[in-house]
Amino acid sequence: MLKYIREYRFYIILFFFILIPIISIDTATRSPRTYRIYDRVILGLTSPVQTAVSWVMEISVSVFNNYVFLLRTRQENLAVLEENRRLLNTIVNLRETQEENGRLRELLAFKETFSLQTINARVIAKDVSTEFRAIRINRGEKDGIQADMPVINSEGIVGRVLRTTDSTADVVTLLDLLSAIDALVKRSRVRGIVEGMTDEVCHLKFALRTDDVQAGDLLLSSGLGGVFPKGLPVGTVSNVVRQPYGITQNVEVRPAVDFSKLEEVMVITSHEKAPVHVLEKPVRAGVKNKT
Amino acid sequence: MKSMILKALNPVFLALLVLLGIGLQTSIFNSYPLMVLQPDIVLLAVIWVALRREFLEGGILTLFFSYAAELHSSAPQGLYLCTHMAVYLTLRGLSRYFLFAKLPQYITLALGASLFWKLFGLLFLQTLGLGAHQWRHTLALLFPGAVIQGLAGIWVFRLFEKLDWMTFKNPRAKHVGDDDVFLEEETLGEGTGF
Repeated sequence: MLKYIREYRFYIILFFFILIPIISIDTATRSPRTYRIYDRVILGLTSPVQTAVSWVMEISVSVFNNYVFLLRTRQENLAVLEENRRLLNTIVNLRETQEENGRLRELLAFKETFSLQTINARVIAKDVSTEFRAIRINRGEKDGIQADMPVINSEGIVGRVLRTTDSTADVVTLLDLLSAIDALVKRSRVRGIVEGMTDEVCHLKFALRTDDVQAGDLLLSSGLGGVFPKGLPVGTVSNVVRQPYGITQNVEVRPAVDFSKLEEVMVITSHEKAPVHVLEKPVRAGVKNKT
Repeated sequence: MKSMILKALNPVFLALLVLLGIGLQTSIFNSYPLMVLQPDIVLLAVIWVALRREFLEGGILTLFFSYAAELHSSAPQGLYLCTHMAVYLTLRGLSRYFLFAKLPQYITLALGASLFWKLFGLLFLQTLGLGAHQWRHTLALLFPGAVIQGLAGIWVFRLFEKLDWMTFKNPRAKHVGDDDVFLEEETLGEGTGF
């Protein structure tokens, strides 16, 4: 027996080297992947490096912005003062409108139930490959983050939490191949699934050829996936290609979030089932921030 | 004795070095436009172990590197294990017929392996039903990615070579005495093409 093992050692090893990756794919289709103890050991080695490098880069950029860009501060200051004067006038007008709005809401018995609890987090790393678009944030289980929690920023939906460790969490962004968000067109209420496509654009799947979708339309989360609250901005339709045949149309969507400048995000730890009513800037208004 | 211990610990040091590399590449190349220029240290490590290690040791290290990469990615489980193993076995096969000894040859291999790895990965994703919209992105970054991989290889392969010398993994380092573990820069890689 040993003689045969020695004789066919190379082929036996080769067999296992081919078998192990194939088995790992098979198991992936059966159960969702979460971090195991040995995974956490490996991540425990790389996470501090990522945090440290991210911190150093942030400090460097901050120093650059605070000192080098001071050269233009005087001109900018004058421009800001002018802008400030103009905005003060606008605020006075808006206050009047707000009070009027409040009175009308009371008249209509409209009760705003929008309530989000969020945790602020910083992006410390991106995906190891340029083919996938996950990010890692510096908050984890000890901060109350769990898998499938929605992640947003002031512009709109960033993605959802994929896996967590004690101090970090991996987020599948809107642009990732594995991302799928149920969305609807704000103007025409057409529904579809937004899936990641490239580093810049997504794809609206299952939009029928006869559906009314136009470039420039705003897409919002429909709230049907069970992950994202209804009404969060997903993106804007950037291109629509309608063939004279077929069932669906090709709709490209540019995400509301600028992923090239993504530094801070918010993880929604709990939210009411009621829809988010503030559509253009959903997060800044009425968010209970639990930092 | 010290050289034997260091040699035995070489895979551990190499694994730690690759983990450090993963940590650095995922955080330094975090923001635009650096994210497009991200090299893949795991692929370079796979090339290194395919050409410089025993079949069993290299294969186990390849599986470990791929697994570590998967932990830092949203890629479907098994994707990197399969694609990196394909690169590893292909390079092992090539090394039976061709001699790869000098740095320029390693750089050329890094360029080729980058193209092969991305296209194989794309094919794999297509099989899993995920690659329908990935073609455009992959093809756009295919050649720039290979060039970056080749450029990164210049330093990364030298670093791996240095590690092998310091841990006596390189057969040429055996003549160095136990007390003289850390080699002079001038003698490092002498005669190896690095």
